[in-house]
Amino acid sequence: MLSRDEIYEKVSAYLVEMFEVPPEKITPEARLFADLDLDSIDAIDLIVQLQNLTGRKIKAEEFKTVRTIQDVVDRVHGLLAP
Amino acid sequence: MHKLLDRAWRLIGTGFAFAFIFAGGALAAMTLFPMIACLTRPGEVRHRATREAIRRIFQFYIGMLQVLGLIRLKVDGTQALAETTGRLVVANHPTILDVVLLIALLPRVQCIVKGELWRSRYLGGTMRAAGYIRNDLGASELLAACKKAIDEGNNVLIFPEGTRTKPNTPLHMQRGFANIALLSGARIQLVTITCQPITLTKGEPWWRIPARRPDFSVSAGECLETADLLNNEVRSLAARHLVKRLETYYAERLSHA
Repeated sequence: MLSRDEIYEKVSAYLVEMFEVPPEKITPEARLFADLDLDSIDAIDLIVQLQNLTGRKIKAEEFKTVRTIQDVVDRVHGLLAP
Repeated sequence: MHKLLDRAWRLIGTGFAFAFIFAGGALAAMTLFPMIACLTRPGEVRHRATREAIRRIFQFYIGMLQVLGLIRLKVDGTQALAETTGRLVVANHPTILDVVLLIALLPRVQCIVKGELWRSRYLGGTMRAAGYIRNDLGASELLAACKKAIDEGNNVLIFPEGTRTKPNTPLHMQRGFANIALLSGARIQLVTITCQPITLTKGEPWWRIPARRPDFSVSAGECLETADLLNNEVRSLAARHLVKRLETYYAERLSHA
């Protein structure tokens, strides 16, 4: 199972590759929409990536309250928890 | 003396033009549009008839502004604009008159309007009769509505800046239009609007008229193919690159204006 740190690394890599987020802007507290300039269509793409990573189906509603990178990591970690 | 007279005339004329659009809008909402609604079946037929009526009214209005000496208008590519169908029309947005100009010049313009306007007592009925797309739909619903409108041969008009340009600041575009184009496969018709001296900007009161009669110009630019824009990139990157490309495009066009 992936550790929180590993998930954080993966999510950071997606943000840089898919959404051209400057690496220096990536911190656990960075907000996806307000700070990293993602939009609602990007969020859908990110969820698809996370599905591929976890091998689980993720409902968009489960990510409704996600604001920061840390929120994403926690949510993914929660999904993988036995 | 002549300058003073010209200014006084344009001040009175501008007041009249604003009163005309508000009173005329209310009058049409009470008479013409309900009449169209009586004569047409609900749905696409009514939407098209209502939009066509709006287009005629705006054509008359733009003509009136020129006859009254309030604006001068130069259109570059009148024919190209008049023959545009089934495209995403993207334009910069210097003044309050832009939407009126483009609805008058292009056939079958479909607009994306604020949800508030849709619910407004004053214009809500007209917005619904015209079947304009509301901006408070969810992302996928909004996308589907735009794609449907374009597939049916309408021209979906978007000002990617989201609001009128702040004078003397770099033009900044939001990404929504790029997502719509890339996900729907629609072609993008570029249009550049200029106004010299600038007037009717955001937050400027109607009575602050420019020193001389403003020259408006509307010019039809390139038509971009979505397939070229995707260029083997994923949507998220292609959308960002398209925004940057068009910000540069408009910055260049406007610096030469």
